[in-house]
Amino acid sequence: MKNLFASRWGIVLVGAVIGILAPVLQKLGNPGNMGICVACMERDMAGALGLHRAEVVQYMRPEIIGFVLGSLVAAYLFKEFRPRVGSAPIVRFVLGVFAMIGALVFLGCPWRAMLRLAGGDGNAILGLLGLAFGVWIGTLFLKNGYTLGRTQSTYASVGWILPLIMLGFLALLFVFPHVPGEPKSGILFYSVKGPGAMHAPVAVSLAVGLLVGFLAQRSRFCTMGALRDLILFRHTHLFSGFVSLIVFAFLTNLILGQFKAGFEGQPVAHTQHLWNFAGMALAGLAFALAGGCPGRQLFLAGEGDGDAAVFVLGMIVGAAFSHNFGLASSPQGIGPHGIAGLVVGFAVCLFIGLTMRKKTA
Amino acid sequence: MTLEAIKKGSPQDLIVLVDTDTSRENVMRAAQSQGYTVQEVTPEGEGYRIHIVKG
Repeated sequence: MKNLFASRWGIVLVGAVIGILAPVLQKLGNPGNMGICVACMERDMAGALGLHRAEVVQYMRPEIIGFVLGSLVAAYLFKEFRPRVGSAPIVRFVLGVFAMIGALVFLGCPWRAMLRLAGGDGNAILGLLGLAFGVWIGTLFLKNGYTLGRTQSTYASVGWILPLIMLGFLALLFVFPHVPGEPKSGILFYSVKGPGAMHAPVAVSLAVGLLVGFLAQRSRFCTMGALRDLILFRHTHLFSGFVSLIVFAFLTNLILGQFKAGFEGQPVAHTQHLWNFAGMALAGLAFALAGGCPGRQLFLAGEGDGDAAVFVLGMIVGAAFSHNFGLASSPQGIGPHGIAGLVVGFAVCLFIGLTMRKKTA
Repeated sequence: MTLEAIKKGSPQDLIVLVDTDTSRENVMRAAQSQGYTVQEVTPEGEGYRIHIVKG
C-alpha cells in the first residue's frame, strides 16, 4: 500500500497543515508564537503533574497527548505499529533531559522556533542557527560511526506503555478539569496566569494534536531530520516539510493578524542572542544523537518505539529539573544556572557522541 | 551506508537490508536520487530487503 504522505507533496502538505493549525491554536488561546511547542508543552505537563512548581507554566496540554495517540491510530491503521525497544534507553533518557534543558534556555523546541520565526520574532533566527549548528555537530558524530545500537522487537504491550500513559493524562484532564481562577483541580495543577493559563479549548487542542500526530506519523515529519539530511546528504525531502510549515504559518499569521516583526517584546521570548543560539544548539545536538526532534519522538512512541518513549519521559523530567534548578530562561533572559546547564549538557552530549561508536570495518 | 556503497563502487546491482519503514523510504529515495531504480522491496525478518539496480 503506497504511503502518499511520505511523498514530496505529502510532506509539504503535512507541513502546511501544521503551519496553518498552529497559529489557529494560538488564535484560540494558546500562548504567543506557541500554537505548538513540544518542549514548552511537555514542560507545562510536568507542571500540571507537580513535578515542578513554576506557577505560570502548569497545564496538561492535550496537543502532546494527541500527537502520541494520533500517531498510534495511523500506525495501526496502516499496519506500521512496531513495538520495539533496546537501543540504549538510559542514554536516550539523558539526551531527553538535556534536549529539554537546551530548549528551555531558548524558550522553545524546533517547532516553536519555526513558529516564532513565522510570527516575526527575530530571536528565532538565532535559535534556528543554533539548532542547525547543534545538528551539524551531531552529523560529525554520525559520520564517525556514532550509534546507540539496534532495537529489538518486543511485546505489543511494551509499545503501548506511553500511549497508555498519555491516555492516563487525558483521563486526569477530564476527571480534574480546569476551574477558572483555581490553581489546582483535584491533583492537577493549573496556572492561574502566564502561558500556562493560556490555552485553546481542550477539544480543539486534542483534535489538532490527533490530526497532526496522524499526519506526522505517515509522513515521518521531523524538524531535526530535515536539517540533518540537508547537512549530511544534501537531501531536501524532510526540509521541504520544514520550509512548508514556516511559509504557511507565516501566511496564516498575516491573515490572523498575529505577525509582529522585531526582536524586543516578543511573546515568551528573550533577546539574549548568544543563549538563544547555545540553547538550541544543545537541543539540536541532543535531538540528533537521539535520532529525532521532540515531535518525532512522540510520533515514534505512538508507533510503538519504547526508546522514543523513554526520550519523551526524559524531556518531561528535564523540564522539572529546569524549573526546579533555575536552568530555564524567562523573557528577562537566561536563568540563574542556565549557563551551567548548557555546559554540563554539552559535556554529556560530547561524552555520548564520542564514546558510543562502532568502529567501521 | 547505501550512499557510501554507491559512491565507492558504483555497483550495477545492490541489495540493502533495512529495519524500519522510514529507512525503507529513505533508502528508496536516496537510491533514486543517485540514478538507481528500485527493482524490488520484500519484507525480510522485521525489516525489508531492497533490491536496487543502476539506471
